[in-house]
Amino acid sequence: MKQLLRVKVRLGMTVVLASASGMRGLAAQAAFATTVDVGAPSDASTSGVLPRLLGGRATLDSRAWALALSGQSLRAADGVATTFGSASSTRRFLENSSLRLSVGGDVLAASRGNDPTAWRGAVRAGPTSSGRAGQFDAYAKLGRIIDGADGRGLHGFGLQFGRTFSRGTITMRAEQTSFAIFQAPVRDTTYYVLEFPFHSRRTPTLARSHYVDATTQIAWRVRGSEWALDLGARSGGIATEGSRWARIDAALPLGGPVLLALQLGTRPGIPELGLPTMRAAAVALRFANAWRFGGGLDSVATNGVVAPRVARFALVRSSDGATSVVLRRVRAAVVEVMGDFTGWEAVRMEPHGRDEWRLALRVAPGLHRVLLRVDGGDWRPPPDLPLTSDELDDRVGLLLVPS
Amino acid sequence: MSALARSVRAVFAAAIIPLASVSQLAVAQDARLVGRLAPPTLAAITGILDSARVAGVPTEPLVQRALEGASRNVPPERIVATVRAWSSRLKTARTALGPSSDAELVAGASALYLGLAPARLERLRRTFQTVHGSRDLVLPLIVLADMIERGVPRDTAISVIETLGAARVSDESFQILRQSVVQDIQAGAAPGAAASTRARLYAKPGAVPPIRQPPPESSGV
Repeated sequence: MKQLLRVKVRLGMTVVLASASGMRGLAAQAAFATTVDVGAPSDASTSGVLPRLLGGRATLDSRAWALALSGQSLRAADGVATTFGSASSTRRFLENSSLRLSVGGDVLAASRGNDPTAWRGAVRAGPTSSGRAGQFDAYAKLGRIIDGADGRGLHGFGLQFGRTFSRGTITMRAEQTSFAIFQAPVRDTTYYVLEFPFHSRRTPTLARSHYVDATTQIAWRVRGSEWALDLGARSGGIATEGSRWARIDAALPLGGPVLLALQLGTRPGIPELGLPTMRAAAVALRFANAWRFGGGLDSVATNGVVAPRVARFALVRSSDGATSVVLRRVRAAVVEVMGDFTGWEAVRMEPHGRDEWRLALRVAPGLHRVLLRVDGGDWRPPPDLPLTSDELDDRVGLLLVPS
Repeated sequence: MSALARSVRAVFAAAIIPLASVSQLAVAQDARLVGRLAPPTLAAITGILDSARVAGVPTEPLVQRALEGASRNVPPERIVATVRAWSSRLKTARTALGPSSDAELVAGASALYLGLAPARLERLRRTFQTVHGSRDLVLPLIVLADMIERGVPRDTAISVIETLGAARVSDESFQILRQSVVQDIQAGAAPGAAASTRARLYAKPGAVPPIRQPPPESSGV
């Protein structure tokens, strides 16, 4: 098996365009990379943690000129995720252009593979993971490859299943891609591709182009940093392919607008492209001033694997009509709450799990003002609640309890 | 009726009326305030509560403000001034909004404190009644207050609410708007620009997508 090792040092800076568009939080990114060796692009770690960026990247390679433009504008607020990219190089594996648009959970994608006559398109529809515990994902893809050489197309239908488990700061997603029907009427061969295909008729491995990938990703957060471990196994693969791979990604805020992204491990091969399993190591520095680091990791959504860890204060009503105020994702020794529903007397909340606090009490329908105190500090409005103020000065949170 | 009987009745009346007032005062004195406020403050607050009750203004928000002031160690005179101001604003809000729930009156009074003119509050009510029927204004007014607190210029915030109200935007959309504006501001956007841009976006029919996370990266596409 051919081994490729890439050590990539990427330096870049981010120019914010947010002021021009007012509030979109978009930024342009330009970066230069020095590639010691060759390998597949590896942006997995950083793409997920720069959700507010729209960027382009130019890559200067030591062996070959390469130009790669990629962009990502992930909007946690309204669920609009847009990714587009284009890459071109003298190296075969980079000859790929893609466009990816997704709104909510729907994905429309088109890409052009390394075979200049092959295009592919796909529409994916279905719910997507938001990192909620126990969430089950299933979505279907419909694809079509238009083979420009003989004018015939390939039609496919596939299913992807996944399940997300969350506990504390750890999220695990298991996913299996099963493209069961993908018929390619070329060379009188009907074959099945169990991954969305990059199809190349010249690739001999297509003679055995059916395989199943099972992948698992475990992501967790440690003090603002984000780590993800990808494990995968392939069955029915091609002889030149490794049957297992593992990769670890880390995104480490360095303070200020600097993020250190690390990646180490192996990546699965892409037999349709003739790419073997690769070993990859990447180090990247990213600069952004559209993104708040430190606490910022708590305020932005990541790539959908790790749920946003922003603290939440909410009212929970159980089936028997009892109500509780719940504060989530706050690590503290003591949490107290006071407001209209406590007669403005401080009441301790009870710990409930690792970073959740609860207080069962009767809360009448209406609009309630509320304050929170953590570890004996100042009284502050609870996170995520609307604010207001009056002659008593300090801001308070507003909790609207429907009748 | 004899003169004697009239005299006896007058004497009784003279004696009973003050007693009745004292009794009403005792009833008006909210038990929750006793022990939380100094007697002079309690007396002043009780007077405000009585007046509010006579004027048909809900007293519960006033009691809560007094309790809040006591808990936060606010000087007594400011507690009294706050409760008096709240009573006045609740009255103004009721005039502007017409028949309303207590929550709506409180939200209206908060908006008045933050600079919404009574006439504009009344106009908001008319707009929402015309466009939405009987829908209340609680959530829009909460969003308005929150935007102002987060630095959105007052006139911009009011215009945003008016625009969205006229565009038949739902309560859910108001919530999404608020969260979006907050996130934009946290990301460094100017509050006014964040609010007005979001409003333009969301005022379009069907323009507000649900809050969802971005889809996971897929190896397939």
